[in-house]
Amino acid sequence: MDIKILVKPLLIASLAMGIFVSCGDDDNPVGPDPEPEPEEQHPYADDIVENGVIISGPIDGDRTFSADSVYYLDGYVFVESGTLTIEPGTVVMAFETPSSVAEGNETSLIITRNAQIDAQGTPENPIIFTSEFDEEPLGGSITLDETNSKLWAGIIMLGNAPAYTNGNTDSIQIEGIVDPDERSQYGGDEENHSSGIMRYVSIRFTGAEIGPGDEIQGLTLGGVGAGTTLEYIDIFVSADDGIEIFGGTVDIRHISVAFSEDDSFDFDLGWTGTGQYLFAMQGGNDADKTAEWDGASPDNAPLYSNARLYNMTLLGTGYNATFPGDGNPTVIMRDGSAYSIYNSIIAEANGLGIEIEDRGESEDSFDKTVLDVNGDGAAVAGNIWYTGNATSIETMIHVTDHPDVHDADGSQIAAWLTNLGNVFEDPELGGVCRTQGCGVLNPVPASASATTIAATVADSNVDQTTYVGAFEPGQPLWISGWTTLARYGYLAD
Amino acid sequence: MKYFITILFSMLLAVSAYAQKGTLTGTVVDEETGEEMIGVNIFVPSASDGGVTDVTGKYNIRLDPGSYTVEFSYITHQKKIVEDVEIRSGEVTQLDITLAQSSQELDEVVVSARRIDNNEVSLLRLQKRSLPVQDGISSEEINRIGFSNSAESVRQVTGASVEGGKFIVMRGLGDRYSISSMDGIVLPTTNPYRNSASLDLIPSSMVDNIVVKKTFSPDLPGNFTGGAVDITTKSLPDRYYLRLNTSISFNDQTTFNNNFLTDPINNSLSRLGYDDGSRKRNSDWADNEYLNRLNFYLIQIQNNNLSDQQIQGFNSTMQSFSERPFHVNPRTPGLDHSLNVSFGNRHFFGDTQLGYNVGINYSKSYSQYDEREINNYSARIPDGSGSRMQEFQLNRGSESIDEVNNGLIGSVTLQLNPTNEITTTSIYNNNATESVLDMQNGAYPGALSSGSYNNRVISFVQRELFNNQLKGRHTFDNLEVKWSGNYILSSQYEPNTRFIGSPVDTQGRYFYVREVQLPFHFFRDLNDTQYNAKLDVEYKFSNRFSVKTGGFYTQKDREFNEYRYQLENNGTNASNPEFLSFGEASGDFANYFSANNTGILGRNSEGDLILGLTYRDQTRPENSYTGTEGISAGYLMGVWDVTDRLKLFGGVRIEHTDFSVLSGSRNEALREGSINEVDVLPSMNLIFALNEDSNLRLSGSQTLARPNMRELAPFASFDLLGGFPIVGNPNIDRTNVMNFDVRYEIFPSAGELFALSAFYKDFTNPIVMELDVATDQPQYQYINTNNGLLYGFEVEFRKQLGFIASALENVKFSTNFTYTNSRVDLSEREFETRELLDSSIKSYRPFPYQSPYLINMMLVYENSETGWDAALYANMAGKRLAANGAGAAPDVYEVNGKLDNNGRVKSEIPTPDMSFRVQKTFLNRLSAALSVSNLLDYSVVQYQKDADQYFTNSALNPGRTFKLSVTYRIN
Repeated sequence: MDIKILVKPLLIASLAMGIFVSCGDDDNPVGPDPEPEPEEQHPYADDIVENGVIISGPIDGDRTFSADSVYYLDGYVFVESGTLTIEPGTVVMAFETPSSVAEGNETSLIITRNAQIDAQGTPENPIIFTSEFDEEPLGGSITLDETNSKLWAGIIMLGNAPAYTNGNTDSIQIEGIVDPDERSQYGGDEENHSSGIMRYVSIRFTGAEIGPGDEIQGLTLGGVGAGTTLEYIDIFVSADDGIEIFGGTVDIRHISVAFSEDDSFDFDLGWTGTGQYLFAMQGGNDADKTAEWDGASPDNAPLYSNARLYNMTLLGTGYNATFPGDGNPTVIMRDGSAYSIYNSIIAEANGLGIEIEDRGESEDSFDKTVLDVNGDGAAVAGNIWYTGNATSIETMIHVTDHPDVHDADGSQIAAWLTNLGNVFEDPELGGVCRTQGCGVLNPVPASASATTIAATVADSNVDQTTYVGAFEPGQPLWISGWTTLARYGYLAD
Repeated sequence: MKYFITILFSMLLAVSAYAQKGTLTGTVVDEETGEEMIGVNIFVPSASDGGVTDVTGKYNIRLDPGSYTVEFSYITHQKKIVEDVEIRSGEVTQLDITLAQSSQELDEVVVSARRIDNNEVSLLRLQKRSLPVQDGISSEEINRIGFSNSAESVRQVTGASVEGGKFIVMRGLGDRYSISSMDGIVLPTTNPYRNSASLDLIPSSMVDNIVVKKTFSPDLPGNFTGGAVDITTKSLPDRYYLRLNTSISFNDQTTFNNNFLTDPINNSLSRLGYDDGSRKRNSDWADNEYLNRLNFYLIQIQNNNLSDQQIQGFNSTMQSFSERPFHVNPRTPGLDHSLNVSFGNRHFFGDTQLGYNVGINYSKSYSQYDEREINNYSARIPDGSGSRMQEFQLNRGSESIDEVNNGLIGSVTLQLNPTNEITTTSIYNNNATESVLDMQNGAYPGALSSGSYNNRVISFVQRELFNNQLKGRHTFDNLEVKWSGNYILSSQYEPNTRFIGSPVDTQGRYFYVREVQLPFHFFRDLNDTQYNAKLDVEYKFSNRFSVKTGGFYTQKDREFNEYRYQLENNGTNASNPEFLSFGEASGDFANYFSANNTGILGRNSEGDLILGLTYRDQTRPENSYTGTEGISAGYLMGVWDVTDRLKLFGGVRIEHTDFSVLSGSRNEALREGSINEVDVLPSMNLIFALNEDSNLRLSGSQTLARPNMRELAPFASFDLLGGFPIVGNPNIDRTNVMNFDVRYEIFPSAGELFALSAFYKDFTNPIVMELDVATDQPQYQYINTNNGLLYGFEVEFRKQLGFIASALENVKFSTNFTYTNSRVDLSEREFETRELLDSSIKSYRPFPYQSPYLINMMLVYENSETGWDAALYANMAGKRLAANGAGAAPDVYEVNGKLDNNGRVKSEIPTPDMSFRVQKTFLNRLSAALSVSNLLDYSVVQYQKDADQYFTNSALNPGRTFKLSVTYRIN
């Protein structure tokens, strides 16, 4: 039977029976009209200060935020191209609940890989990103404190520098934004890529859940390259990590992370830059590690994290805190990473000092650091450790909970640390306090080792210090004056 | 209920009205074609009475008790005279007849009624007559094996398997590729993630027969590819009948097991399969100021800025969550039990006949899996140094499921005369599953340095289907017209699923970590309204040529909503003595989540407010959507007996797909998804009779497959237990499929069969679920890949064993075997990326749930003289793809197998699913059956294979079930 012959009578028969019921419903889609009227006043126009400007929707091309105005971010604000310039002293607020015309369910600023930010504050006039509820930057009273996380999502910066996850190197989707959207991808091979400059920037009260169980950090970096400048950044209260770095080659300097509720410094997916003068202090609800440092995915990926960190002062939840559990290390290096820690102070944690993951696999963190199987020369050298559930370098090691470990009691790690000039002793910090207005925080060490054990550093772009920790004894704190810790009265005068 | 019982009894009593006469009934079919014959004259000379067969080939005559000779005549056929037909008072005698076409030698045959096997006719009808390749199960078979629902029944069809006890997989093609319909109308799904209906909703007692078609013809829906399962419900009964059935079952894993756990919410309608409202989303939670703007209120509380009225409002909102607890109660489940009642009758008003059927069913069953496991592994790049698998999250514990199924079917058929018939049918079915997944022995090495990991999911899912149909069938000489219209409501109601997951440190203290969501309450509901209209017109130009045309229209409107309320512990001061913190509660969820620990707990000595637990509305607008699926279709086909031996049929179907989904997404690019396409689907079939007992069939057709609304809606839904989120794709397109089939079949004698089939299918743009490689937190997304193909063969064999020895005369053996191979391309991106991790990875994988082989075997003993019958039944399905591997990890397969001491499956070769049933019938009215299922005690295991080891992803042991069932039947 010839099919062609059949088609015609079929069509006639079908039409006669009225089978082709109207297909013209296209101009009347189900539900509300998706297009907002552009002339309409913004739904929150009446809720902002007089010189307020609401930023709703993407920024495409150069844009300047001037210090004369107060900016309100409404939902996801993608900087899709060009440079977002922010003048010193500018205050950028974020709405708790994005308006009906916003994109996304939480407020976040996303510097995409095709755009840059130029946010250069000064110690006198820092740039402040905060919640609409924060009255302090506009001269009001202090109504918030270390417990107010999740008031908005946070800042994401994306670039084209190398990162690696499961074979993907150039189009990795950033954590937190679940929609499959090219604007939220990062990675590539431009090691010197620049996402711009952030200096003297304060990021407060972040970590709202973007998806179930999916928060972003105060500052999230994906594939950010070495051409980017990130220094003097204050992250104050985040429901997730303080700063999380996914791959990239960027160097970070003078970063303060206070009261992050997960990890303070979380590094992942092959970050290979350096960090110097990093300060973290935990508190608040159930904070986890001061340093959670992963490799890439999978553990034996060709690109893995081997960033080198210098002069950190990492303070946990307190020697007598109940969380995290006493058995937890405050610094963990795992998933095949090979980080270096030089000339730092790790103290005020209730549990143990460090875990260097040892799964008995050929390229786990233990093999890459202690045994240096890849020749990274990773070192944990010249540091002061002091944690609540340990009494010595030997007892502060967390042995990996895995049946095939090489170093079943942590003694090899301990010997390696001791050999590299690590000591376990009280750094005798000037003062630690964790409630708003407490006024005694002074994280400068007084112990003798603090100025005697510093190891020699090889990285040409970092400073060789004579002291350990993020702060030089006898000098003014670099967190004084401009950080939220200073402005909210945590620091000693 | 009282009203209902009254009706029931009056129906039962109706039997007495017919106590005097007896009834002769049956079906007349063409011996050659197996087709039902309309208008056959039946004459009983000694009673001077008679009748005519109707549009379904049936006849029905009432006679006084006695012995008769009955004549069946039709103009073009041999007359058949049946002697010694016994009619007894108040009973029905069934006499199914085949008529042969007239031959020169004989124009009539005489047989004795004792030599007529009614079964022969029904089998002929199922097999020979059919134009497309098809298999079927009759109600007799369904009763014999004792299947409780349609999903179980379908599994024994050649090439069929069932996924998750609910969803049909035909020739390795499940979900979107196979159609489930009831009385010719595609059944809606009640599961938002699925395309195909879950057949477990339809109890066997409602079913007359099940037919599975394997080749496409233009009068079938165009999304036919793997096969179409059509469930025919009972229509015009031959006579008055009543069937009462009750059963009790004992499961060796579940019944009387003290480990069984239940939701402490006291649901007064639990026994009936409904929620009494105690799990319903509290109306106060919608657009609730406190839940929506929790941050703002926390700041007010912190600054002591709330009025007493606000405190009261805040507390009443927050404390309303304490009525939905996270603890569980132990309970000891008793025996599973079920009750089925069905009855029907036919009334005569001259030429006009009225028939009805009523069926009621209720069942309650429990399942307890003591050694439940759900694990997740990550993987290193294979480097030759041992296994690549790394434990990521291990969940170990138990699962307790309490299931209630109830249903009601009613149908009324009005046969105005033998050529005009109208039927209305309403079917209601409700299934409620209450479950507690309690994983108290897990670990989370992927996120935690030490300690263990516990979690628990408490849920209630209710699925309802209410299908109303009006259909008619009319014949005018050579013209037959069939029409139907349906109004179908289906829903899935999932109120108040509760999830809590927490690490426990080495000292036994509970705490929260960011890697695990805080405890939450989850609500989800789906409501579909579907309208269908269908018209089929067939005209017989001659005995050799007929044409069929028709049209079909369906529209399904859906509303889907998800809500989520999550615990917040911000601002709560764990060290406050008034507040019981999570760590202090140490697993005492009853006190931790109590009203005393929730909201504002009071003021401290300084007058500041003390804060306890609070909740936040985490509902995502993009997780709700509305949508419409519209399909309109028209077809024209012809059937042409080219010669006595060659039959051709084929034609073309045109389908217009008009789907649209609108989600609440705030990303404009992702808000809407739609498909608007017209497809022309030609098909051609050829049946060549090699000789009287054997056929060769060839067929080729084009079909399609469509995404469902969930797949078009771009939101991410989250798996509660560490599974990956699933994201929809508004740009997904439909799939076009080319099908080719060859079948050789021999019918040595009635009830015996040997058939060999081969099939080949080619897919363009197949829709697959891919693990997105873009993120280090993998998520599934639906995409179209380039190509897919599937091929295989089936062997089917049915034989009476009388030929071996006369002692085996009552033994029947049947078996079928299906081999299938399939490959669907990975997307180029997935392949290129994953190849970097595992150079041995292939660029394709099989279709999900496609087993390389399926084996069914059945041995039946039946002795009508002694009333004993028995059946032994075995089913084996080779390993099948259950989930994709992420990164360097291998894909996940599922098999029924035995576990070793480490909880790993011992072998990839499946353990047969074997069941046995023995039945004794007393006095034709009462029968008792004992059955045992899962005789070999397999577990259902999902695993990843690496370095010759099987890493368990999921395991559960259903145990052996012993079931005693008693049936009382009249007619």
